[in-house]
Amino acid sequence: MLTIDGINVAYGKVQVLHDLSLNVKENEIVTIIGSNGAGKTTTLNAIMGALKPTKGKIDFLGKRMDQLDSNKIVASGISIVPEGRRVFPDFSVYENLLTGACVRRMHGTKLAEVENDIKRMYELFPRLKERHSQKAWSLSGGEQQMLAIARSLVSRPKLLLLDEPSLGLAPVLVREVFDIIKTINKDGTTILLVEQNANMALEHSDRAYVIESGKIVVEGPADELRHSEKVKKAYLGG
Amino acid sequence: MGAIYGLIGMGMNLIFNSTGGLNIAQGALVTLGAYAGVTFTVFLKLPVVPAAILTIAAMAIVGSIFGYLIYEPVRFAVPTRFMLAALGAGIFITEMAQIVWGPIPFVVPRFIRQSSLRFGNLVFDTQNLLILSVLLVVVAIIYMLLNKTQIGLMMRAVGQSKEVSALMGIPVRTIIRYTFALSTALATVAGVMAGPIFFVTPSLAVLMSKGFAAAVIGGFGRNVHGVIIGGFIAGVVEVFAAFFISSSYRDAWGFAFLILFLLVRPRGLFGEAAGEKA
Ligand SMILES: Nc1ncnc2c1ncn2[C@@H]1O[C@H](COP(=O)(O)OP(=O)(O)OP(=O)(O)O)[C@@H](O)[C@H]1O
Ligand SMILES: [Mg+2]
Repeated sequence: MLTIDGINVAYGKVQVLHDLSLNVKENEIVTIIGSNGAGKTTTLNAIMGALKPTKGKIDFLGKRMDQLDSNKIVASGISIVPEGRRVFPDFSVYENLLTGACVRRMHGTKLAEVENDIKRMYELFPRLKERHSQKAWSLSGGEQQMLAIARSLVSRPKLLLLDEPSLGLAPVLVREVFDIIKTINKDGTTILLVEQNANMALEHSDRAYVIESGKIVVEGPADELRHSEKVKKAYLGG
Repeated sequence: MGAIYGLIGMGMNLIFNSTGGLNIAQGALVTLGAYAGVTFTVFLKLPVVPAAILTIAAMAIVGSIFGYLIYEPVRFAVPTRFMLAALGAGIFITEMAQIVWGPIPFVVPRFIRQSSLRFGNLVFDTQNLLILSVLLVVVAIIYMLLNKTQIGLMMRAVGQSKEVSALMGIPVRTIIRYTFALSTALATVAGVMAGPIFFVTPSLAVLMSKGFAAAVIGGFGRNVHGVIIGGFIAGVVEVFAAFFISSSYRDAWGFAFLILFLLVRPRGLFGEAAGEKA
């Protein structure tokens, strides 16, 4: 479904990703684990078109994506839950959800249809429904994360990217977030996840990649990685 | 008068929200808008309504070109870069206006011939009534546009975070260009309205500082009404100070008030509390 083939990505002169390749197949949950500054966020931003690779290519559903603008990439069915649950603070919950549908609206989808999707989000996240007209800055961290996930789903992605969705959440909430990710996946959305919470992420994934200094160093089925000595030592706390 | 300040302030507020910088050229765009109005009415002798539509449309295009030429090259730099670029562009526009339309002020005829209306004992100046109603219509349009349309939603999203907006697939550059078009259209309405009051000369640009004051008093926030009320306060303070204290320092009184005001309410009348921005 998604194929990244040997990309280099740089911020100005500083190259961050080096000949990085990975792929995601339809209906999978794939995790990228790696320590701070390894290049996880950079990888996701490159998929979203916020950064353009200087070498290599990114294909999605057989179409080349790497030089397209973000709005084309969203339109083709990829959406992201950005790092640090970046909701729009001055927007209400409802308005935040509407921004998730901007690209669809620009392509002629009726507001009524979007509102139907928002209703479905309220079923999936009942707490958001209660806070329908509350400003996003006043939500708790967990609620903001749910909102960020719901906002991305309103764009009806085929592939959902999540950048450290469990960061800074209490253990109960982390479990809840992963349950939601499982549910979304069962409903037919492919997932590419970035996590430092490697244990939990591997437990819920089909396959995983380990990234170090902008290179993939280990890849394989999630179960295999969970039991590999090397990964255990570096990322699972022994 | 306050209405005109309010319009200018509203335009600056829109740009401030989406770029984080002050558009110092807003005054020059007011001037240019006024000259465009003069061109369509006095030189081309078009009737008022088509002239108004053409003026605003032409200036909206000028605004988006302004955004493209002045803002886009510096969009990744600190906002002060944009302010400096706008400063230069403003001087350029004002000087060009001087060259194209000459240094002699244009006297713009009143929009309505009959000068006053009586309601019982109350007498209203038709000119002021017209300005006030135009302001109300414009505010209603802006409010609807920002709050009820898809473009408005995207403009407000871009105002909060360009990076997240881009990740959501919002075409950020296009939206900012629209914002410049809208803001310039507002400057134009202000310039055209100011024409019959102040004459049309390049010095109309000084109105910008009042518009800025209006925006500051209203609180550079996300709300439209704050700036409008700020505009009225600025207008009223100016007139009263000139009347009761001294008219020779009319502008100075306005700014003295602004400074006092900022000491009392640093975030403006409707500014948000500090914690909310976190
Ligand atoms: N905007 C930027 N400009 C310059 N360098 C950057 C920028 N963003 C990230 N980098 C650098 O790129 C490298 C990879 O950063 P990235 O954010 O992708 O890491 P990450 O794996 O997501 O880390 P974390 O777990 O902390 O989120 C880091 O060395 C970082 O310093
Ligand atoms: Mg990161």
